[in-house]
Amino acid sequence: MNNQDSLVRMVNISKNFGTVQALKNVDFDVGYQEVMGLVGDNGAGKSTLIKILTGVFPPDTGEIYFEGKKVEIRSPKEARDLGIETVYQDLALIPLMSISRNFFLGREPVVRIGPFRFMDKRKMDATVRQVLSEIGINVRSPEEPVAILSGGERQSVAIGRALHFGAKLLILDEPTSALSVRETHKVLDFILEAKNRGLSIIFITHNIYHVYSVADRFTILEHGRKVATFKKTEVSAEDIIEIIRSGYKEGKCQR
Amino acid sequence: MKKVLFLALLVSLVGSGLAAEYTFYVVSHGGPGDPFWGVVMKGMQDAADLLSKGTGDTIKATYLGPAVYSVAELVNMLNSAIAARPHGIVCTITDPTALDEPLRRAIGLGIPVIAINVPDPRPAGERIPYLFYVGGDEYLSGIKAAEKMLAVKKPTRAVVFIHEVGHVGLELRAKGFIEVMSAAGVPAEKLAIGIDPTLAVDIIRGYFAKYPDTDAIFTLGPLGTLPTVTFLKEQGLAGKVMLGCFDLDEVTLKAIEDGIALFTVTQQQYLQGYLPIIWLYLYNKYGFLPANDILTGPGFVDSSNVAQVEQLIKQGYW
Amino acid sequence: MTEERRAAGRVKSPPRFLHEIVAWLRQHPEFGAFAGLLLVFTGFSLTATRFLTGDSLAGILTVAAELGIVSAGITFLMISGEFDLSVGSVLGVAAMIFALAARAGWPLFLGWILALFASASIGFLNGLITVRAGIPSFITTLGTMMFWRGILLAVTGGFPVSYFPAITPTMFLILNGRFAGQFRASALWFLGIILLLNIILVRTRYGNAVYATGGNRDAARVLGVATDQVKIINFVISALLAGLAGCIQFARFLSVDPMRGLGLELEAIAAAVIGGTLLTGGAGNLIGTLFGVLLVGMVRSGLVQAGAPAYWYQAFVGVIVVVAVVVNTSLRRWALK
Repeated sequence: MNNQDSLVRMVNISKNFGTVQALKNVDFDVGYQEVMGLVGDNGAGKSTLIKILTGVFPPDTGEIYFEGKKVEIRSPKEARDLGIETVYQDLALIPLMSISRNFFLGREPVVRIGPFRFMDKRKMDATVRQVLSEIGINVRSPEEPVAILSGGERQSVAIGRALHFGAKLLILDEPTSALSVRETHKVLDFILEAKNRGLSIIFITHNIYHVYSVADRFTILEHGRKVATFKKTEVSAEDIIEIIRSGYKEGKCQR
Repeated sequence: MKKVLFLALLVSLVGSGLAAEYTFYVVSHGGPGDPFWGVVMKGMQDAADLLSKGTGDTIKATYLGPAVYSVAELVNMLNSAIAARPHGIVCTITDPTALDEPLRRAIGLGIPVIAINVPDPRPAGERIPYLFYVGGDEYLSGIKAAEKMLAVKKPTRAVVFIHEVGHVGLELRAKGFIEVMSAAGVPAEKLAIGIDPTLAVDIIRGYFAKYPDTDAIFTLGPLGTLPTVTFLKEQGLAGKVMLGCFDLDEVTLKAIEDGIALFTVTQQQYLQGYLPIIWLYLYNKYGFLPANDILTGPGFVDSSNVAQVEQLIKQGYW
Repeated sequence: MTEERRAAGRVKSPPRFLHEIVAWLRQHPEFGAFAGLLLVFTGFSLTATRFLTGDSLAGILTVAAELGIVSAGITFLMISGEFDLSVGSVLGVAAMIFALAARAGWPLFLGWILALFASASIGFLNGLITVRAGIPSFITTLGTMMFWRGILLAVTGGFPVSYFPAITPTMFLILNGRFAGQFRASALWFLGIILLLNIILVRTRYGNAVYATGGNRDAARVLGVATDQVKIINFVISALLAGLAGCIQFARFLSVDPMRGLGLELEAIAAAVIGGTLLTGGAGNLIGTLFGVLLVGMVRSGLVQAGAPAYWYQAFVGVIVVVAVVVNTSLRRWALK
């Protein structure tokens, strides 16, 4: 499997924090238009791996290839410029601000009046209205505060935002943990929709059933090492749960 | 050679017995950077120099005051002064409770104490048994201020602008003024104006809108004088309303010069530094004592002496 | 959620126009202050006979203007999630610098610029310490409030500094001259600043960054907002406006004592809070502050004229602050349901 086949490929990644070995020789890759479930118990190293990928800190060893080219991701900004976006559970949207403002935060379109630049409110509202209707969210106006949206709707808006701004790889950190059953389904549907539109997604979660319904492949981490990668066809949700619960054993599931 | 040395020793011994040395301490709540207390210090030093030159004795006076207002620091300084066993202590009774123990101790050790600037308000039997008090009388100041105004003209209505409600000194000044005015049949009351001049002017404006016949104002300090003078000038009432002020500052003096203010009340603080030193010397040397407190205020600055006072301020006497 | 229950027919759906009103309220938190202002205005108009005169209203506006300039700066900073308790001391320091420069014979414009520069520097220091050391701004500015007040007292020895020009200089007229009877230029500065800051807040990218920084600093960071820079800039704005207010006040009174501006910070914050600015940051706007400041000014003036005992001002303003916050919070909560 060479670099060209994957959207992102992390090779031989290791990271130490003092005496703690957070990651050791981890290989990780995500294909184009693929949903990858990244799972493992607490302390497995999932968040460390993602932080390296999003430029929070560099790896001690190893390389990262993005769209076939070797890259060094030195800051979150560089990650975003490459097209890697993250949606954290509580840090996706700011509840007191309007949907419109949230959507365009940091990337607001401007209109010039004389020497001054003002936010192009009309364009912002029009765009957001369209995106919301595509997602299937019904609000009075994009000027409404995000606080009126339900948890699932907020997740969808964040995903829609990433899509709109041309993200190539979207990392979702526990997107369904705080949601009701109905909401969870809406978000999972939207994730599939995003994939169909060309996005690749890394889905980090403890809820194996949720990720199982949408993922194409799974990577399981344990104590800083990658223990296995499976295609959905190779394994059941219960198998994955069992591996995480009792540790990896040779035998039934092999890679 | 030996004879000369012996004679010299004899003379110096006799001489030192004839010439006495007196050390006095002035301990106050006023910091050394405060111009008001700078005048007190000058009074103290001038008295010491005068006595040293005029008599054969050496008089040494030292001023102690905390840089930032602090009763605790005042007590510390007082204790240091007492430890030096001086021939007399001059002290402001800023906080009678806190100063009670140290001053009684000093008096018990035979150190005479004179109070200045702030007396102990408690009755004769309870108060700190200092020799006497040198300073102003807030209540009397209010009375005299009202009398001075009534001597010019009996106003239709008088008001006292108080800029710091609850301040004992200010309240006493107001009380004296209002009592005299009321006794003369003039409606008089207090108005709280605060220390922010913009707000104060608006409060004054509101009062005048309600009582347009007000024609006498008494302010209790520069913080009250500033908005009052501004208001009178802006509304064209300068000269039509009698204004009496308190304390000396540039705005107040200019108001007197310009005829906007009739007078300002002073407590002649130079005397609060000067007189206690003279008296401590007289008491130590000859046992003299005045029969009563010495009031250095109320004194008045008005158009008759404002020019002179301005000169004296530059020289440090006022 | 309520929407679902409504769809299921279990909760009656309110009429359409009510929805519109509620939505409008959600987006305009300053409405509470406006309603309060209207209430107070009506109340005093009925009980105080001279309340509606031109002089009285001009007087209210004059009091509101200086407080308002400071409150505008503090509002801007509070929306980004920080406090500035040192504004009173900055006001005093700036006025004192302006006064000393005038006395020393320097050109007044230069003295004014110097005073503003000093104010901005104090603000910058406040911001730098808060952001770099990670201390709550409440603490930082509490410290600088006391520090600069102490410097002011030490430098002046407690005595006022006055300046008596022969004729009123143009600079002073520009800052705080009178016109149309009892109206003052300070009101124009106030309204101009409110308008300018509100446009920046509500219509520019920077304003969006301010709201985001206050609404959820970490989320804003993740999305690339330079939250540290935003905060430092806002500290500078807050101090700068406080200094401007100090100079404007000096231009009228020509004298400044070292107690100038004492206690201003709490009034300025109160006006902002009455106007709908959240103490926790992330919401509010300058129009609300405008109403809040006018309300405070009106209460003070109105009470004197209505004949209330003079010592009641503080108590009344205190009650209004609490009532205003309760009303604003309730309105906000209700509108979000």
